[in-house]
Amino acid sequence: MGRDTNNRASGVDAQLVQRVRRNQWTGAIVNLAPSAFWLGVFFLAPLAVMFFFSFGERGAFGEVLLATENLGFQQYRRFFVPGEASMLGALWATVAWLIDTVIPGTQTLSSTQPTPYVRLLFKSIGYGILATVVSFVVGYPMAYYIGHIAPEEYQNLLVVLVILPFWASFLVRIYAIQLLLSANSVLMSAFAVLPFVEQGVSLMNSQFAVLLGLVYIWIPFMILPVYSSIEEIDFTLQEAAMDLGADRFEAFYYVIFPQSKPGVMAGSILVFIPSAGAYVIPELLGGTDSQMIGNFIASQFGSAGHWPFGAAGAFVLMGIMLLSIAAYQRGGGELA
Amino acid sequence: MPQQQSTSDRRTFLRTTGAVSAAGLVGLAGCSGGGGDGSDGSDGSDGSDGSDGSDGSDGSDGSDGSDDGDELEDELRIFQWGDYWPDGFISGFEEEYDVSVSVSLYSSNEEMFNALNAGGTGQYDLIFPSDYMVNILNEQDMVQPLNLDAIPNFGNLSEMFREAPYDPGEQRFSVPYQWGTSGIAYNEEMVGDIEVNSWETMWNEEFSGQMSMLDDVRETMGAALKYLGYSLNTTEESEIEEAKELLIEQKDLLATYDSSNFPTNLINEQLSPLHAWSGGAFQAYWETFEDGSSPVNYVIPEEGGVVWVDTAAITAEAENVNAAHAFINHFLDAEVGAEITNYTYYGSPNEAAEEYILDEILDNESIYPDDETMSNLEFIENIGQATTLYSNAWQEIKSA
Repeated sequence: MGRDTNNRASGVDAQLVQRVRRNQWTGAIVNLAPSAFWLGVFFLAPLAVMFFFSFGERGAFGEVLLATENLGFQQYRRFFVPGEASMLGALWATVAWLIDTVIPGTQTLSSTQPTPYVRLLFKSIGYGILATVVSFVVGYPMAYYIGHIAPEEYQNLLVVLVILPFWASFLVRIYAIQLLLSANSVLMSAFAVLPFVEQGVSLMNSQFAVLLGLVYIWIPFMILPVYSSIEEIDFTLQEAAMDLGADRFEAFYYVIFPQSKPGVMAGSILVFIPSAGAYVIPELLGGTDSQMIGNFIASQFGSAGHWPFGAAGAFVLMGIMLLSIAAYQRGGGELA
Repeated sequence: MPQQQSTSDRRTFLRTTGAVSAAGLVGLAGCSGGGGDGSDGSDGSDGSDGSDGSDGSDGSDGSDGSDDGDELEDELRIFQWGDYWPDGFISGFEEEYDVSVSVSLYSSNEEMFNALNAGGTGQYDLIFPSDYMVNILNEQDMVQPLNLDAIPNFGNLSEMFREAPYDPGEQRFSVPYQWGTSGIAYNEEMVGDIEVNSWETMWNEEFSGQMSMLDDVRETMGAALKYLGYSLNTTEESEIEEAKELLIEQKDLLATYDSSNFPTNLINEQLSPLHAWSGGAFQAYWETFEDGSSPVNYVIPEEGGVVWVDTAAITAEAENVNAAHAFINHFLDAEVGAEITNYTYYGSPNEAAEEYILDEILDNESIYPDDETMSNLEFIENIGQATTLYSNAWQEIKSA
């Protein structure tokens, strides 16, 4: 009734409102405008500025030079190409170094080493992969237990326990690890009881400490997606498989695991990205041998005062991450 | 033990007297009606101790001349190194001058410089750059000349610090705040009673995995250059290259590069020997002081090392120039200057303050080195474009 009166009172306006309301774009614009504004102003615009900076040059006192004669690929070149080597030489040096590092035994295929930045980049990716694998090995059984074996009434409680560490600040937890790993701490003194551990040993400032920190902080991101996909699985399929002659392992490997794969995929990506780009964890737990690409980028924007180089490093890292994730998803998609 | 007792007693004592004299100043300011600016401060210090009469009268002469009626602003924004004045230092100034102070912290000169470069110098009024950074900031027109008439306590500075190689010329852009050296510190509980007199210690494989170097380009490159027998301000590419190789070689022996946690690492016997700033080493010294001695030692290597001065400077686009001048004048006061040094254990450029500085600091050769040691020390200088050589080398060291 009210609407009728309204329509009659202001016919033209109401018609306009109706037309706007029925227009196919209205919904899209209303729904997307806030997020588009947010992402545009606070994500895309800064990203574009940094991308532009990465083609610039550093002035003597750290200012960014962006005049036309300064623009070019020099920062990317400096990142990838050692000394006077050619593009091809740099590529070969990188590949040869990777082979040398990954396969033990073969030594020095190429005489030129890749730049320290490239080595740092691959080291960070290595940390990322390692942290992801360890998170998977530790997290999967846990997610399986929570999603399938644990009694229904405890499931929510267990999930809350997994999330619980997030209630305390990230930094506080890293400092707590520092305390635990330094020499003569409670933990290290307890370890000293073991026959092969010396008294007064410290695990701080080591690659192990960094890996421990990465896994500890990011493992919930592995457990939660895996849990949610395991919880969806219809476990009568496992019984069916075993009825048809599969043993427990086969039933798990061929029937259950493939169904939990979307969770493993999501979890791996969620652990890998922040691990490979970590900055605070290697800064606080690492030593001289365990700095990562994130520390390099941070120092370029900080004490080294070389924004273009830092920006170039950041975009290389981003490119490599996007590529590896694309490859991983494609590979995973075919396997599933 | 007894000595430690006395230290803390004297600290408390100094803090209390500081508060009392602050209260006195507020009272005096009230009497004079707040008409003059700098003269309040000098009157106050005369009133509270009356010991350096000549300096005091010099000061009030100066401020009489500059009585332009410049009012103090309500606000002062300071950009300063972490942990560089005693607790309550800021609130003391706030009460005395009725200025509300906000302090932001940085941990290296380069970090401070880049923050100013990126966000404009107007973000802060008062900054505390080290010697060579004063020169760079000056060249970049990022600091403004000081009005010495508004800083009557400038006369309290010792002869040596009144003229500065990094801030030459008629106009002064900086006033020294604290000075010190860098060298090697170690905790005997960890490494025993070792003989340290050369930078060679920091390359000794015996201490593999338990050493750290400062996370600072010029300091750590400087240590390597000194060890090689070069000047730490060299611009020779080959010498810088050599120092770089030496530091890369050293990397496997180090636990970490660190400029902020080394006192804690000394106290908790986590790392030793390590590359340290004198003040941090002495904090660790007093923290572990018991029964008349401390296991923490600090040595300036015979090859020499860095002597540095941290200064106060006012940014080019500062909004609260008068309050910044008042703050500089405040810390140059004899008693206030002593209060700072008694807290930081760094040397004070303030000669008038020496009367109030603890004897154990004045008599300590590692804080106030003898002339021979002093002659081996070098200021870090602004080396212009060669800075890029250093930062590239440092980047390669850190990424190697």
